[in-house]
Amino acid sequence: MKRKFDYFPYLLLAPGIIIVLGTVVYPIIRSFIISLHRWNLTESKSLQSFIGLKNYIDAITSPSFWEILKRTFIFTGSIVILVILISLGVSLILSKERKAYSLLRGLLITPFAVSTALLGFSWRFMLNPEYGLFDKIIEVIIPPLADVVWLSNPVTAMIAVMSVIIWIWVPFVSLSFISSLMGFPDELYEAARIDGASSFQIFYHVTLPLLRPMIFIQATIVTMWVFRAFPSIATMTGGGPSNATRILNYHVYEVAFNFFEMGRGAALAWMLASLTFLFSIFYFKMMTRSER
Amino acid sequence: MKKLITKYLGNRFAFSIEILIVLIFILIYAIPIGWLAITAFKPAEKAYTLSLQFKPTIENFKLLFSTIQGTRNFLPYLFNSLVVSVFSLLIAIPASILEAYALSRFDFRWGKQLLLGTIATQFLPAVVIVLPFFALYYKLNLLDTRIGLIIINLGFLLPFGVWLSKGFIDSIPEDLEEAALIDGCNRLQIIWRIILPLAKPGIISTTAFTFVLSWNSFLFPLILTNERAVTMPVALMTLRGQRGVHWEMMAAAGLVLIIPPVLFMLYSRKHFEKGLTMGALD
Repeated sequence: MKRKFDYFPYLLLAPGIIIVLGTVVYPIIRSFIISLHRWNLTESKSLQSFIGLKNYIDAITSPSFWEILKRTFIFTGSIVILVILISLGVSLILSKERKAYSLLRGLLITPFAVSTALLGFSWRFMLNPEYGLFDKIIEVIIPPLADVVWLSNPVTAMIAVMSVIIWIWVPFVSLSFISSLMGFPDELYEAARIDGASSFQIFYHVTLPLLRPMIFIQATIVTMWVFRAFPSIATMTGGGPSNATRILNYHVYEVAFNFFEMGRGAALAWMLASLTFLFSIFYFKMMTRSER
Repeated sequence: MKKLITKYLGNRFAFSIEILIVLIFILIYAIPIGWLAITAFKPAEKAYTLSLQFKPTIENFKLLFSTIQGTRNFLPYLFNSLVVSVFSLLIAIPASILEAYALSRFDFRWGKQLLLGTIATQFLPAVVIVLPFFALYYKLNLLDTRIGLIIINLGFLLPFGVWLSKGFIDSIPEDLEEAALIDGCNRLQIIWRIILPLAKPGIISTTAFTFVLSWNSFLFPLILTNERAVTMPVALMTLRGQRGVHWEMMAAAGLVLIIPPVLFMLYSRKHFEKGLTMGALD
């Protein structure tokens, strides 16, 4: 006897799949198609001439592309490393059982709720050489840096933008680490302590290995998010000064929506998407490896 | 409750360092928000100073929501943000829960790939998505519409919704559903009567998280809207005047912008912490 086809599970999946097909799969495919053309939106509402892989080749052979890519990696890498290191420190402290810390832990999720665009503006306000609070604080605490006009200097502008992104991510990543830390079995620590291990040794030989999978996961998540970083740059520096904060994601936005070069923009976007895709594969490998 | 690494920094010196670090940490997070709040209540002249002596005024908020002095009224922008977020969530959350439930309870041949694929899309750079949508909306006259924003939002909220819900749903034991099936419930009733109430904390935290993402969304509205459908984060850009940004207005607008998501997050934080551990376990 033939079993009736069970359509119920597929019914459940239907809305989700329709949404993903329409709002993710379609744009990805369409972007690729667009990237194979030369198309300036101000010249025509519809696709212009087909030029094959020329947009990609132009990108790969242009030195400015590699400049931007290098900058993107430095930007992203530095942020991820700093976020992980700072979060480790913060979470080691805040995972302790103190009433005050318990209150703090509850508040850790709040910075994530703050709009990055707003933060970009806030930082700009506070880094103003005349009336900026941060500028003043730096003047007092680090006198050698008193005269720096943060957003006008390429190096310091990058640091300023990075600091916004780190500010947003540290609490979130710390929260993850804290959850992990609070779930580690005490027996391991007891055993290590009985064996006479010092605090540092305990950290290095017990905590760190246990935390390793989570560190990788968080590092990958943050990496992928930083690749998409946009509001902070748009509101703080607009890619400047002189290209200092022009990372790939922002550059794609400029090409496609300031210059309206849809073809070129789509090609660059696809290259960025491929990069992100490679990282997500890495992420899933890490995820499945941490399934003990 | 399990004991933690309490003897870590055992001696007093280390303890004072610890307190110092915690205090610095608190300051780093309180100062930007605090300064924003203070500036919002400062009269315009005082906003461009570091002075803490001023008479608090709600003038900035009044200006924000009116058109006297030629300023823009932010009420429509606030309204747009609300409408877009609420409707996006109304569609995305149920769709996410259903998909998460299906992937959790049923075995699909390509189930694992579907899950991974769905989750992977959240990491796609938004530009890849918005580019063809911009061109499409341009042709279809959907530019600068709330419905246009809602549609594109769905694509980016759904993967999150599924990612966050699945952990919660996975942790609900299936026996209850089996018992209900035996009792004669149909499968839709099972979801409605059993899964939903049990997954409530998860649903609340998923909704809070996706609300924040939708509310703070910047790139999509920046590109796809111009006048009528502009949302709050993008509206901030309009406060840039000829001779610089009107910081006292920006602060007031900023305060209005951050209050809903922050409140929502705080409200659901208990549920959220539970959810993070689950995410870590799978």
